[in-house]
Amino acid sequence: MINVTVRLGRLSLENPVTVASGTYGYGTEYLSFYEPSKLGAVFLKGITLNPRMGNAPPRIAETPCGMLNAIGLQNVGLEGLLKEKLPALKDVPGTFIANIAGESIREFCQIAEALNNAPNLSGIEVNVSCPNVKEGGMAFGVSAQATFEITQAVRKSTDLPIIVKLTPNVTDITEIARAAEEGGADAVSLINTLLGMMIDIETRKPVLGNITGGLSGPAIRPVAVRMVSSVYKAVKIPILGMGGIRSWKDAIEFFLAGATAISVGTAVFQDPFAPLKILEGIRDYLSKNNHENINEIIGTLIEE
Amino acid sequence: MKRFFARLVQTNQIKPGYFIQTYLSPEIAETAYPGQFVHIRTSEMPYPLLRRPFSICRVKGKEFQILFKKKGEGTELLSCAQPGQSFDIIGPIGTGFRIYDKPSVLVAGGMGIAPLYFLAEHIKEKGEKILFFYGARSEQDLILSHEIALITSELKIATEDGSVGEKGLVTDLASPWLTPEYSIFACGPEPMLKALQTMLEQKGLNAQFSLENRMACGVGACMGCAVETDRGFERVCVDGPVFFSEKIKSFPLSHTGEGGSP
Repeated sequence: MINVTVRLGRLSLENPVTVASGTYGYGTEYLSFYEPSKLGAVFLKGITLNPRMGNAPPRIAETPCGMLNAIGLQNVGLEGLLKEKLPALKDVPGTFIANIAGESIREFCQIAEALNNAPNLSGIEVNVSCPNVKEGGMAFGVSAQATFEITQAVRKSTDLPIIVKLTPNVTDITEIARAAEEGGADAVSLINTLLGMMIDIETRKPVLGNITGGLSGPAIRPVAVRMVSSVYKAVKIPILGMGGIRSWKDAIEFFLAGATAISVGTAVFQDPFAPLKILEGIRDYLSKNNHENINEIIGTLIEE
Repeated sequence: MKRFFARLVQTNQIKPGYFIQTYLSPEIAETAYPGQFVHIRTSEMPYPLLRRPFSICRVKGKEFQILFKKKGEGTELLSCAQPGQSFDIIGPIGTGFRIYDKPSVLVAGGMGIAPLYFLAEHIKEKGEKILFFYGARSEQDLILSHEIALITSELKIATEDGSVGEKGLVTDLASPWLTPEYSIFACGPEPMLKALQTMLEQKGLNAQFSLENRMACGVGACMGCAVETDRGFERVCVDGPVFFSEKIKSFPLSHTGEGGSP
């Protein structure tokens, strides 16, 4: 029997395949397909202190082997999560992790504190990397100092494990990862989307209402693998790797580069069952390569 | 809504660039309701990446039909698919039309004919009267008009070039019949729906509009297909695609090229 349980700091996952925030709603949208307990964890849609309307449409556009999105964190807000969305998960077996975004350190702390004793929640992902909002978001995640301060403050506000989600839109992501580690993060997740843009040549206008958006999907995978590999060498805390994963082979690349667990995002849109197929493929790969435990392959990239 | 593997039974190119496809899927065919759609994965490859949403145009026994115009990579692939090929399809999805025991006015523009054809069949079964208004650019873009003529004798056609029916816009053709005695339904491009919404507003009337939009998940998770209504941004995929006209604040833009077009 192959052991696929992994630990992201104090957070223990039954398997390393999770679904990324923003692609899986509030945990109930895909219930007619399969039980979320089959996943290592579900990262819920990012929430802010107050509900947000989100950006003006169009919000998505397909690109070669990827997509741009500029949803703009449309969400039900902290109260909506506490009163409506989390209670809806009461009888749904699974590991659920909130994703939080604040416009200030104080807001991050307020949300983290309120979620501390929330039901059906196993951890908090701290979103300092959304490229589609004007206040907060990526503005924090491009600064090591801000990332450190937010992580430290959130750490003090909650007993839940915290994972800091990093943006790839920086010169040196290892610097930001180290800041999150120093701030007390249990783990870092990377990468969020790459800032991109697409133009409608007939109208000569940007395709997205927000003008720019975040690029995701297979197109960004090599960038993500490179960044996971760099961060693995720079920090001791575990890495949740993501960015364009749509098959088990993609996932293995991330484990070899140093990820302890992975997230599937855009691929869920193409195939809601992709995460389950990926997990099956990971087990087969481990078995074929005579590994009994997934942890045996993490960070085993050979660089010579 | 679930995921099914449906076998492509037949592809008919009914006019240059326009296709009707028949899929075998008892689960979808037996539960589909007018206004709902299916989300089809057109490729096993990473490009095109996103599924493509199509209104269910007709249901017959264990089969359902979709109608599409070839305009992007996804529809290109579908149009070349061989009968017998199996497709990964999520459906039926969405909140469809509410049908009342009243005579109905249906206003279709271009590809908006797809959900309204299915609706017309349903209304006919209930025995209610249907006035059908159908607008297209020209004769080349009129699809299913003969089939609709079999459902209702009250079919009025408008083409922009006058090649069939009245020359002009379908909204002007329908205008005198936009009255409180009818249930009003419409589907079509953004400018048509906008014009119709204004007419309805002036008459103090409400109608049901089926909207289309770029879509990623199709299950209500990603918020990508948002449309602005009096309740903020709602999801075309599950809150719609059918919305009451008086609630819509701005319409999704009609596509002009690749990048999210079907």
